[in-house]
Amino acid sequence: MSKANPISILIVEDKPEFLDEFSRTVSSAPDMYLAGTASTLAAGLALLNGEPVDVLLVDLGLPDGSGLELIREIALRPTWRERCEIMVVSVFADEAHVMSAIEAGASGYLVKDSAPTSFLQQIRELHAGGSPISPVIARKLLGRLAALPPSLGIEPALSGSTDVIELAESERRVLSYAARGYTYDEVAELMGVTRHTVLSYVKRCYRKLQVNSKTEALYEARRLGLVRD
Amino acid sequence: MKLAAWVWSATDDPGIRALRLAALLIGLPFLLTFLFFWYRAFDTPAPLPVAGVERWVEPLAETRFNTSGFTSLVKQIPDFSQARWETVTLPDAVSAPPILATESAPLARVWIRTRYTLPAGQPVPARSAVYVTRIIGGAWSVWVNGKLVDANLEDWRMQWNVPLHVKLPAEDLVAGSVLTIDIAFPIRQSEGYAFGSMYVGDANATTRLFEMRSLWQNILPKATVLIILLLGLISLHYGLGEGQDRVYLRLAFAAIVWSIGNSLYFGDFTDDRVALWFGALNDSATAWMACTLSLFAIDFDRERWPRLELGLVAYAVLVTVITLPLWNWGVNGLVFQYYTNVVLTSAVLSFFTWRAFKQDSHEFKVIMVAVCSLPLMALHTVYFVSAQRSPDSIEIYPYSAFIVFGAFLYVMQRRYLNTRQSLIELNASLDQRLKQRETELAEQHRKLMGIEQERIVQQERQRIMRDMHDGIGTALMSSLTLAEHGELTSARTAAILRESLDELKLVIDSLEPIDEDIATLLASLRYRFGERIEAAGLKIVWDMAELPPLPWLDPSNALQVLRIVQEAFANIIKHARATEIMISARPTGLDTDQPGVMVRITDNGIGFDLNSARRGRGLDNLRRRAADLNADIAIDSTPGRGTRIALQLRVELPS
Repeated sequence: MSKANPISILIVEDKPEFLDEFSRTVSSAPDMYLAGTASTLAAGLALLNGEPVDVLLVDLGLPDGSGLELIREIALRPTWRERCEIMVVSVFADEAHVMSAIEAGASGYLVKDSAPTSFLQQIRELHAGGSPISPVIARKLLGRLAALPPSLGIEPALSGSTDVIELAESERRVLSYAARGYTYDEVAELMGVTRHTVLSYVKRCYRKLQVNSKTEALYEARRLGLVRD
Repeated sequence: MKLAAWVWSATDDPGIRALRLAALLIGLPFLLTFLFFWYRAFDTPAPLPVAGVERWVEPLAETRFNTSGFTSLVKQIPDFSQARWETVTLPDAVSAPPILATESAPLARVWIRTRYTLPAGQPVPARSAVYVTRIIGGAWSVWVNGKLVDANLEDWRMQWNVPLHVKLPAEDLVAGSVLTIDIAFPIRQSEGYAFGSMYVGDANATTRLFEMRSLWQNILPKATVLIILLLGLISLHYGLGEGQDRVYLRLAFAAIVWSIGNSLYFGDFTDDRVALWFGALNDSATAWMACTLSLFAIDFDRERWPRLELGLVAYAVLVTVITLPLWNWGVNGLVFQYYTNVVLTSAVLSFFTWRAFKQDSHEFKVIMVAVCSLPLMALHTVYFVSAQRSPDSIEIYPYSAFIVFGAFLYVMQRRYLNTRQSLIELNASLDQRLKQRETELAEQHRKLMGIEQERIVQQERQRIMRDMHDGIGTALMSSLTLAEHGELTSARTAAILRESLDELKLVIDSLEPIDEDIATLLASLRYRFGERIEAAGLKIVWDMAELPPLPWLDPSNALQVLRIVQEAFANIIKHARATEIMISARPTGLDTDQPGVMVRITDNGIGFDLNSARRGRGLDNLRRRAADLNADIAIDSTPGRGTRIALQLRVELPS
């Protein structure tokens, strides 16, 4: 990471002590740039009218609404969606909250009491391609993806070939290892691929889940007559 | 039509409906047969009964009353000059005087004479015949113009039921001539005879009359005997198979006895010896008939009459013995039997008919009325045979069995329908009870489920409360006390708070959905604390195989597992001075009946003396927690050579 191209970051967090802590940590990092902060959902949404940033840190429990709304709003804005990686910050990162965040479009989450170094490391990893995934979430993803068609969310160029099956199998293995507590480095070693590849697999899994949840939403909307074909 | 409609609706009872159908099915062919013959009878003009008949009883001196005697007698031309003819009206019946006959009673031959005029100038029928409805007497002979035309010695003892039909010689059929027709038959003077109506004329017409009479007098009674025998055999078969209801066996015996008693319609029993024994058999059959029929009827009584039944059987045996030809009591035995039969049968039947009406049992009444009809018809036969009834009428006794069998079938069908009805009702009530029980069970189940649900929620709530209390609560409380006394440094405070947060995370992780997968449970521990362990300078070597699900791994047990491993970690971090910690979990004994999971936590630290009291308490804690999970824990350590903890978990917990 060069200083010339720092990671721009937005923080949406209602608790001042956390907001201060996060702001301080980010500001201290040479390769990061704090683009803005907000402590309410409304303020967060207002920030979306500015330039897109690289990483958004968002708390789900905001005083005037859920952080999920902010995540969904980003998914609707192409310029933001293209560039911004969303990271949910939470005290416990429990399964129910994380899964809904991933479905809404988040691609990572971190636990609030992480040590500052680990905190920055995770932001960097997320920006580079992916963030660590908790075993419980991996297990959940494994179960959810098993019910989806392997080609879902895969680029048209790839879909329809046998690679799709292989790809799906690799994703499954990554999730299986993650569910059993292996780190990305260990998984990369076990599968004989690079860490970057492992991260891309995880990311693809996230995307599949998002696509699927969108498909379901669209289906639901059609069913209710909200959207025309 | 109105009457038919009334009968139809009056018989519209479930018990009678089938019987009505049966009556229709049987009655219809009879009706059609009757109509057929009726129609054919009108084909040619029906001959009128002959009038102007004369009779002469020719006394016989020495002819014996047996086959050889009659063989010569039928051909013997009488001395007509001695004849004293008297005018009689047909049918001519001379009833037997009410005295006991003897073998030595004088014989006579009855001559019945008529004249048949063939009118001059009219065409003569191609065939002419003489037809007599019935002759109750001996072997008859027919004479035309003094010449013997035909004689019947066949079965002469039983010639009381066969109509006479003889063709007139063709050469005598000349227009304008008068034929003298004589019919002769020998009799015992003491016994009487009967001679039915006589017809002479076109053979086509007389044949029809003859056939019609044969049908009712011979063919149908024969058929009846066979049908009753068949029904008896069916009843016997059913009775033997059924075993419970004696009534079928009793009916079977009655039917068989009845068939034997009526077997005189079959075969030629003219031979003297055979006739003697057959007659005896036939005669005792009447007593047996009275006996078996009474036994059958008694069976419908509510009470049992074993002594009376025994007496009836004894009576039948006695009669059989008495009427045996061995004693040479001849006809006296027979007469004795008839009288006793009448007395006994009327007594028994009257008594039980009275009982039937007293008990007001529908079945019993029907059976008794039907059974009573039998002796009445038998009485008709006795009158008939003893020539006190017109010989032109038909013997109805053979048909009486239909009444008894019809009544029995009716009763059986009623019983069957009643049984079926009660079965249907029973099934319906069983169904209803089953449904009711199912509803109750469902309700009970629902309640139990509710209670169980509540119990689980309650347990879970208590567990979380306890965990909060023991863990975070206690830690916070003690630190609060310290803080209030100003004895808490900021480093100590941070440590206590971190400990509390860790404890809280542990509780939350134990509540996460891990699908009974202990690998994910252990993984979440690494996810939580791995970074910190590595920050403490320990390298984690992670080896987690795919493991079988552990059905008992609910949040409560998951927390125990987490605590065991966390304590092990804490011990290593605090005391071991290790550089590497290896955590592995592998399935064990998958092919055996006790599959399990082996979790190993190994460090390369300084180890410790297993007997040292200082470490003892921590180890006891681990052992206690393992015991709670019904797991085996092995802790092995040597000073300077690290520590190895092996936790053997089972897939199935013994209940």
